[in-house]
Amino acid sequence: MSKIATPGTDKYSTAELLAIIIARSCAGDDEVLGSGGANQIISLAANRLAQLTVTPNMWVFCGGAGVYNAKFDTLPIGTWDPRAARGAECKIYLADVVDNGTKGRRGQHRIRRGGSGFGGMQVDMYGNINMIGIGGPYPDLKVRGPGTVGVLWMGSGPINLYFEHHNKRTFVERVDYRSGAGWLEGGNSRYELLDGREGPQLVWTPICVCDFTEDEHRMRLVSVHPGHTVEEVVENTGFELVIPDHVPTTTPPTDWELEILRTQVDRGGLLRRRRLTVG
Amino acid sequence: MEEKRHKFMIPLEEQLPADPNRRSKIISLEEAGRIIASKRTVSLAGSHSADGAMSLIRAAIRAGASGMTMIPPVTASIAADLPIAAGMLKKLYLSYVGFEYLGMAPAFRQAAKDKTLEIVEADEPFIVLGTQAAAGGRPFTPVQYLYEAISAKTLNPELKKVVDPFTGREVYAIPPLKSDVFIMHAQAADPYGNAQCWGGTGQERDKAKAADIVIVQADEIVGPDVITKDPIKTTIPGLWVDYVVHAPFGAHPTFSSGNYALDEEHLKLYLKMVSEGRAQQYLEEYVLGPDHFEYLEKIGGLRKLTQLRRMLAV
Repeated sequence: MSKIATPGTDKYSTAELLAIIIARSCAGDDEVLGSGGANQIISLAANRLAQLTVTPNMWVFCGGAGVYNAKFDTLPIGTWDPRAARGAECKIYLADVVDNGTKGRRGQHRIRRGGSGFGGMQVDMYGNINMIGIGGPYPDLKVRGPGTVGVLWMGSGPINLYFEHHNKRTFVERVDYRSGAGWLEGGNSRYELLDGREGPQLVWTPICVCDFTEDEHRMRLVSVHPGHTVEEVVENTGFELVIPDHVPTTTPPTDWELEILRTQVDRGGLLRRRRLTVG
Repeated sequence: MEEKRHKFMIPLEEQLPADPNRRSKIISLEEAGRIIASKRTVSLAGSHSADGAMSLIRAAIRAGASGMTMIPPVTASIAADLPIAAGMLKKLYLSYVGFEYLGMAPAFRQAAKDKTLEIVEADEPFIVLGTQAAAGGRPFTPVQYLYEAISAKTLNPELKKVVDPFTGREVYAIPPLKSDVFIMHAQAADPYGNAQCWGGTGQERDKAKAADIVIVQADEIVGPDVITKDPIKTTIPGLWVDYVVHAPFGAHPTFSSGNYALDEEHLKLYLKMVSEGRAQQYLEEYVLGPDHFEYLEKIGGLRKLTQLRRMLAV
């Protein structure tokens, strides 16, 4: 039975916590491409927050609305929301999105991808993603997924993964179908198949943050959000996570961070109302 | 083992950058010229005698560019002929090089005759579709059998045959035309690289995506108010641009769409001098000697440039 993931305080919501920690991860004065999927308003908020604070050279990309660097202070309901285009610097077309996504990083390898990236209905211990469906044999699916959209581009370079629900149905031993390439079968398998291109880096969930081990590329717990425990993470993960000896608590949002998020990014309070679940 | 401290654990206020400002991409014209000269393959946009990245080309020649390969716009006049006159090019993907109503391209024809230039017998689809392949990191672009009917299939060794897996019929494959540096003329750009082409042919976006480095020369540097007023007007997102050069009248002697007309008098002077074997004299007087602002004085200064601007008001 799933329940709402809460940080055990009413000072901030889980969605606000996620937006803030994702923004922190973007820090740097390099040019970062901040993108996120259509429904990832948390990631969109994170990118805008990072741009306003720690990543002044970030390019915030709204895929569905097709623009770079919109200047919203009220979070749109999706990256496809035409209101997300207000104050933008450039219209971008699908042909460009496909070209850039397929080609991956440009020649000089100077663009870092920040923010979240991709999620899905299933993810396994190597960060492979499934948006196709659950069960089989195909096409006799128990649950028909929405389709793969642009998840193919997980194969073209490093990216972070993002989930609004943490449970054993989502975090599974093995994905039923693979629509996005993570570290494949672990080890060097991805490097061998995809010309040495790097794979997923961080995994954001409502209760924790994970990364991948250096050699086996297995998902490893990095921190647990306030209000949650390592045991809760293990209980709700359908595969064996690598658990380090010491797992810190995710640094909670500061007053300063919440102030900027609520007055310059999400004046409408969408993130305060966003429901993320565990179990 | 020391624990890795992830950035997401550190509050934003402890990670504020030393310089909170967005970084400007503006560099000097001469610096841009040196960057171009250090590369092997250069691509261009523009059309016929319009929107040539002429100030960048002159700066590259001044910086000693030589032995380069050019992926030109599908139609070019002086933007291709001047680099050939200056010995900047070793290889040219040819689609059309000529001066239209003013005649043939003298340096190009001379180089072809002297065999000092490797000419790939390409054409418009070869350049446009090859650029598209490179823009998307694709291995090649297939085209239907039209090439079967023309000489290019035997004259252009870079055109290959592949079997269409859907029909089993043989078709042609155009290789990806990637460049080290794409140089482009824009009417306006902001310091972050967002560039507006008020004319253009649509080659700009693909050429930018197909290049490792993109350099924009702009007639005018504008603020965010101009760019955000109409984002649809931004031809190239700044994300794709590496350097911006402020070069007023930088397209001279070609048109700058919406800004000023071509300088027919100067183009005729160029054609005359090169045709008469005085290319070196032209280069010394107009390219190697003067910097950009001295060049603008030499071709007639503000009086001439004002006339060229007014010529668009008809």
